[in-house]
Amino acid sequence: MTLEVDDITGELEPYLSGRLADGDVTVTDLERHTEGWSRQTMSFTTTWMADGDERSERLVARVDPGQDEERPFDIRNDIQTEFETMRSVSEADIDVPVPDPYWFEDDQSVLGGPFFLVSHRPGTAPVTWNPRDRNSLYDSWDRDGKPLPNHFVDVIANIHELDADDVPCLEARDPQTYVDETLDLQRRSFEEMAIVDEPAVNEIIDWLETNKPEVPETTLVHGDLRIGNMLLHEESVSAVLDWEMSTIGDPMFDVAYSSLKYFAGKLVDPIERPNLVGAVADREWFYDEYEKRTGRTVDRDRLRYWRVFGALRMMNGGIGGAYRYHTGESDDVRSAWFQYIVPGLIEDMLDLIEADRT
Amino acid sequence: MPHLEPAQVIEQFASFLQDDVRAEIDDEFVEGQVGSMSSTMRYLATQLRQQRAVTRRQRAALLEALEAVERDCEESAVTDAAADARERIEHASEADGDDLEPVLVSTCNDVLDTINAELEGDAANEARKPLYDFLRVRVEGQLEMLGRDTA
Repeated sequence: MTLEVDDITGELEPYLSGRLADGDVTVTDLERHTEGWSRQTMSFTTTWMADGDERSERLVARVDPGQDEERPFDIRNDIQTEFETMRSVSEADIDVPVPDPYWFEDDQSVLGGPFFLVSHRPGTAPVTWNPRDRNSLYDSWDRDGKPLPNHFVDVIANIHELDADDVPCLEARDPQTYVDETLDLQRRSFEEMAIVDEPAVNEIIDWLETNKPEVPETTLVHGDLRIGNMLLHEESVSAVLDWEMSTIGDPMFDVAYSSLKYFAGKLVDPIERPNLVGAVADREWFYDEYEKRTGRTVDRDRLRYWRVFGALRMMNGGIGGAYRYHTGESDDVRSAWFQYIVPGLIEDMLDLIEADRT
Repeated sequence: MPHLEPAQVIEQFASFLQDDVRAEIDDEFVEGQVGSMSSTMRYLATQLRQQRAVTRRQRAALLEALEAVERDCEESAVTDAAADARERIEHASEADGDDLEPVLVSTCNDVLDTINAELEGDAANEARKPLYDFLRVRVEGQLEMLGRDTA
């Protein structure tokens, strides 16, 4: 369901009046953000009177209109868990900027699905497939003192300070069970949804089955951690967004996933600076700095495993989109387009496994 | 029928959507959909132009790989699978990419499955090597169909 701007404003004003403030709340400048798929994100300005003064605050609502739909192989947590995860991070004594979490609402009559409200944070999320944004990130890496690359690695290291006890809404799992279950889900997803039974992908899955890593510890894992899921403002990370795939797992997953070439802007053509993680930090510098900040060793075998796995999971997202379009389950144009991420990811995965297989 | 080349028509429609239609849309969601539509149509146009040549290149690469497997591998189950695959490809129509590509995919999977079941270690790696050359040709062809410049 696509929510219309006028409808949203009309629903939000009475809902927020008496909740956000004692009196009437007006909603203006509502903007729908297009980056979401089934979860829709919108920002708006709220205004109310308090003690004779006009108060104003910009808020963000994230809605899941498809919460009750069946979504096979969907690895996202429900939207309440996404909110609770963000709240746990916000309340923890660590430097990981997230929007201030306000509240979760499960009454679907307001916005057509359960939703949560958070504060609006300054900054923009870079789109690394856009050359302009990519070049801006390259400039950040070349800048003296490297403030943004340093904050990028700080944020990732700090997320991994939290464990299952700090984020009670996420299920704690045995590390090896985590590896087995995540791979099994992705294998079944490919088997069920692939329109073409790509031999390269079968080889990649076979390699993943054969090379499962020993995972010595689990921490909070963001699960979709990349520069494009961060708001950047004045050479720092002003917010980490999209906590819907968070889990308790191997912290190396986030390190590996954030360093996929795909998230540095590679789609079809090779990128200009493939050694920059997220187009913003030299790969070896990034791994070294993560080690310095956390005291962990970035195990290169585990790292490689999770890079292959992360690329496979991303590729399955593209294949799943094409499958839903193919079966008529979705008529979203982006679902049809999403197939085009597949070959570039297969190329990257072959680069990572070929030496072991030939 | 066609008097116009399909790829050219699709490409020009894609340009019209991107350059003229998007600018007239004030709904961010619909504008995004039209942008994705335009991008998809550009990819489809390149695919229409190049698919046949790319499939032929894959066919040649896979036949070469299978010959190498038959020649160099000492495991009869593998060489039998490679010989069977080569025969199936040679019998498949070379002219029609739509019919040929599933045969290439299926035969490559069959031979790789046999290698993975029958061989281990260095022997498996040696047997797989020529087939990985085919996998590279295949993925490079797919990227070329999306517009990667291979010149």
